[in-house]
Amino acid sequence: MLKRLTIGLLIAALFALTIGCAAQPTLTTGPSEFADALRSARGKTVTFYGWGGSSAVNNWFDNIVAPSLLAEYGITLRRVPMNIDEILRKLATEKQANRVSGDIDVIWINGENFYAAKTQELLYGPFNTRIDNFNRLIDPQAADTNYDFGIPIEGMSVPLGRAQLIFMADRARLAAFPTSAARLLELARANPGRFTYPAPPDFTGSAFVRNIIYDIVGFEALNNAPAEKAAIQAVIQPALDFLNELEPYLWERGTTYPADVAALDRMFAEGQLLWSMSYTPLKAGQLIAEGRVPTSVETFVFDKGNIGNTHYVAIPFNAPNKDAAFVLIHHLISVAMQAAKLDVGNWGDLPVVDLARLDASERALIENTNIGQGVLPMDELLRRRLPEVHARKVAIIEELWREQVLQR
Amino acid sequence: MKGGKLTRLVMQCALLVFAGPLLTLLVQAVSLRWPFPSLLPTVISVRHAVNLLWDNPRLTEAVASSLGIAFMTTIFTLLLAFPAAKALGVYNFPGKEAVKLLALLPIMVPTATVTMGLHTGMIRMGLAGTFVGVAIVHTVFTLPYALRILMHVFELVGDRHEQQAAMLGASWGRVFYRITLPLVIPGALSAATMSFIISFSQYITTFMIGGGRIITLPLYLVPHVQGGEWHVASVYSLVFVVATLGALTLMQYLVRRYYRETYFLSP
Amino acid sequence: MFLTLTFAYALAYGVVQSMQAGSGAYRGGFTLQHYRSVLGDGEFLISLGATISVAVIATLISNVLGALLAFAMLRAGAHGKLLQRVLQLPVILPHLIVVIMVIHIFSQTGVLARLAWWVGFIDNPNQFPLLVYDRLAIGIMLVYLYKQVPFVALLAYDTLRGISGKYAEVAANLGASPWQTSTQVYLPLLKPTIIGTSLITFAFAFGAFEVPFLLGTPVWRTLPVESYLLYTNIEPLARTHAMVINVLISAISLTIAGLYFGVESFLNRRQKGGEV
Repeated sequence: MLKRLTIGLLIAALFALTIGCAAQPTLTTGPSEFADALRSARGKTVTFYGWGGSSAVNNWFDNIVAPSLLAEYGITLRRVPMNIDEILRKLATEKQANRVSGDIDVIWINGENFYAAKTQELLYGPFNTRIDNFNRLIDPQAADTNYDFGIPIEGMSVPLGRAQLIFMADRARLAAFPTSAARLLELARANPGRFTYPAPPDFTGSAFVRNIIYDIVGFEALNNAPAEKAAIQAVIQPALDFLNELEPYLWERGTTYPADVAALDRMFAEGQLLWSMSYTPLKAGQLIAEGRVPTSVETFVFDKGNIGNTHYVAIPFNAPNKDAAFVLIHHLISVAMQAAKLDVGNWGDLPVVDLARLDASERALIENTNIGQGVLPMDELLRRRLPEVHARKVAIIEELWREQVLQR
Repeated sequence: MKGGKLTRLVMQCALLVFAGPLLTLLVQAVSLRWPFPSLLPTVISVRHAVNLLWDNPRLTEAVASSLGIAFMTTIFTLLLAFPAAKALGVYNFPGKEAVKLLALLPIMVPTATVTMGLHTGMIRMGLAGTFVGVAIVHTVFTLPYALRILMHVFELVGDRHEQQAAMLGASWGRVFYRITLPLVIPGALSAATMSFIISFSQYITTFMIGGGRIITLPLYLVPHVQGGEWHVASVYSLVFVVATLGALTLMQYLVRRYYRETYFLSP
Repeated sequence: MFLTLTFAYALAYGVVQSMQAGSGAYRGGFTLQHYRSVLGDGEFLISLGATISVAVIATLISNVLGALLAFAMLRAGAHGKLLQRVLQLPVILPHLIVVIMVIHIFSQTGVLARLAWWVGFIDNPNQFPLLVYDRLAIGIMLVYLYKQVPFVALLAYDTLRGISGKYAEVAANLGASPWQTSTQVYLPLLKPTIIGTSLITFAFAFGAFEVPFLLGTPVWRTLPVESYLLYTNIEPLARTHAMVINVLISAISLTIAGLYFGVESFLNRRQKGGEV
């Protein structure tokens, strides 16, 4: 009896596997006006998926955004940590399986991943002008409102924050900082084994390689080159040669590189390396506040400037609570949240709000935020900020680095 | 059999090598600062570690999920493994070797590979992102081990006793409960333990099938390891060890209590 | 009765496996073109060679050491029993935690490095040899050994203790030395267990993901990690290549398994033939 039942169940399960979905449900449309969103979203839970590898970021979401979101709008924030490639994999699979009501309302995304999501039609939109704070606080003419790594945004995402590559070194151990590629080579020669960088495709390592390219060859040349391997190589060859020249003076003589920027930070904090780098502009302030590095550590950038990029939030095509997504995004780009985000004790990420559009009290809020010790002030960073090139080229450069520098 | 000095040395070395590293975990868990080249941490704070554990709902959620899924997996595994192991261990039938090989497949093929294949199917069945779905996928990987263990037990024990009891008129249920079960308890306990441990430490399977909705302890731990936050990672690792040992001890205790009198295969 | 249940269950298994393999083959587009391009890729070949080498070395060392340890435990009597309990801990610990411990001890700023500094061998961490994240996969190997040696030792110990002491007595009565007893009596009886553990340790070392992912060098990557990175890569062809690699991995794993079963049944037949 039991046996027959079990066999029956198994056969049924096999059938279910082969048959697949029967119905063809449809996607929900979002609110047409922000006021509608505010109304219908009250009491809901909004699910946010994003990289969870930084406790500072997580902290800002969990302890600052979530409580205020609940208090002001009656919406509960549920944050789920997941790497962006996994998120895209999930959305792509769901798109293929025609899952019209997913799990994710808002995703944190930028660059190549945004490009992939957009071309694979994994996003909902355009929606940015339906969010009040976007219209009020964000500069519609700004480059990063309209382009993400050279890709036209077309309203499919909203800026969340700005990052910039910065370098850090201890003034007590290193009197002169390397503010150009040439100076770096000099210092590496004088202090063999004390410098290195994370291997691309690590985000920060990849940015460092591009920064070197900008320093030696110039942003324009790279930006104007077609996104094709041979052409790119022709343009960046001097930079590749430089990195090869630098290699023997690096940590472990360049036979291997740290796999990610976290390893670099650790080695810097332990005194193994003389410098580190980060995409978080206020990183030095955080490390000093945590007591991981001495107070003599300072932030610096190259004389010719460092790469900066913007990160965004977007809404997946199958978000179940698009109204709540609108409200969350509205809240994230509010002045209060952007100021809290800037605070070195929270995240240390630059705000995206256009200072020219703020009133006096709002501007004061931003300017009086504590950015910590050993960091560069915001205007200095923005003055020496270089844009990103198209995401396609980033991938090509990473490939070239592996072939031409790593494998040699 | 008493060994000589060499044997004793080997024992002591083994003890040091395998038990020692856990000390570093313990020390790291209470050190706020431990810079090179100090041999001892410069700033010790037990309070910091306790704070990490206390007001941490995400940690509680992760531990609860891990325990829940592991128990579910163990039950699924035992339910499936028992009949299969009995058949493979006691009876002879054509294709037996083939079935044995099939059953071992999930150990042969890398976890990530199998999981990728299962993922689409799981979504279609609506099991992706559910506890049951994750437990099912874990079961796929624990079954081979449980099968092997139970198979050996059944091979040793045979089915003479069941046959005799059936001949004497005992019902199917009584035969199982009074005869089969007590005979295989040690093996079953071993299989259950194995299943539990495997499920508890799964990362990539829960990662993919859980879809980010299910956060187990390993998933919670990995970002901290990648971020190089050793203090936090060590504290959570200790939580892991305590949770595993606790659950396993509970399982063994419960089973032993019920079967003390029929426990005749030596531990 | 149970027979049919087993068949149904095994059938479901097979279906699942073929589904997995099927999706992989389909992604490959039913052409050999992708296979050719993957097999011809230098990085793939390096990954393949490295993955196999690491797996083979890990298997050899852990099984030899594990068996030896089991013998020592047998001879040590009560101490052996104590060690048996202690050894269960490494088996329980997930690889993640072992990774953390290995980094604590063996990294250039780890415990060993600090000891070296205190003794005066090194002046700064860079002088300490790179044992984790290194090209030789030493760190990865250490994690495998920490987990696998106890695994093998425990299973071997169980087997050894299960072997009746009578065999040893008989051998001793016939004038055999302890060494001869070990090799002529215990070792052959231990073989099936060791073959089993070798299979498991190889399969694991070959297909492991978390450990090489966390401790590997960027210079080369093991096959499962390579497959995962390609799978999550947004380039259009990358996912296809990932599936190709998965199919190749499965093929290799199944071949190894097949080989072992062949060896095992061969040895079983021989043993039955020349019974004591």
